[in-house]
Amino acid sequence: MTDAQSPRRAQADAARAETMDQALTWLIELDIADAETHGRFLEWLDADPSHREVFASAEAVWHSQPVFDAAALLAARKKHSAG
Amino acid sequence: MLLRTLQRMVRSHSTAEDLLQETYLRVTRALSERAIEHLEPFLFQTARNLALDHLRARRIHARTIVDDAPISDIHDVVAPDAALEDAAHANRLLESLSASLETLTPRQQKIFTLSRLHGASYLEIAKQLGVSTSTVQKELKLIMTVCLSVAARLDH
Repeated sequence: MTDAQSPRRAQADAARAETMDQALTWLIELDIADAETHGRFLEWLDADPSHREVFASAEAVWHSQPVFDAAALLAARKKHSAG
Repeated sequence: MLLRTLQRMVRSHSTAEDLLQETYLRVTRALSERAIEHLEPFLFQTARNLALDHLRARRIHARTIVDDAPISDIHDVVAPDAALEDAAHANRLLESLSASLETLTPRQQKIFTLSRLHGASYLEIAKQLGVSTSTVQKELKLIMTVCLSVAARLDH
């Protein structure tokens, strides 16, 4: 399906996936981060422009109102179906 | 420490002070609505969100808006005249998320509600479900990826 893609493109995709994986790790880790861990996060954020961009896109969704609302809906539905 | 964090992110002292003020307002408001177990991470998270919103809004203003609008319009910080469009977008996102979340395993659904609705950290979730922290981390990443792909699909 995408076999026409250049190796360079594939490499960029892999790099972005790696950055996204790191961003998600941080997003999870920051829930319990103390000041020191937070410092390391800021270093990571500053290490490459793509880090900031990818992290911002992930955080915007994960901390958005629709995600919170979806969790509330899901919990209400499960409670209801559990009787 | 919080102010320094903000300054490092937005690279402006006066903006950082404004954001700090807004951070405290929001945290105070949140505290009046619900109990917050870990105040320090919550403070940092709120400050970071505000700073990222600020950076995003500035970037949107800086470049003439191009074809693909970023996910940033989920947040309420952008221009007020975008509010109606935002509400419609948020509703579509909520619908799509709900449909996708139904396909998750019961454990993943539990992890999702504990994390997003109850604000539980992965350590607390692991303890509550009696599974390893690395399991919760892996599950959370998968759930995040589901949410992100739903949002991305909606933006295209």
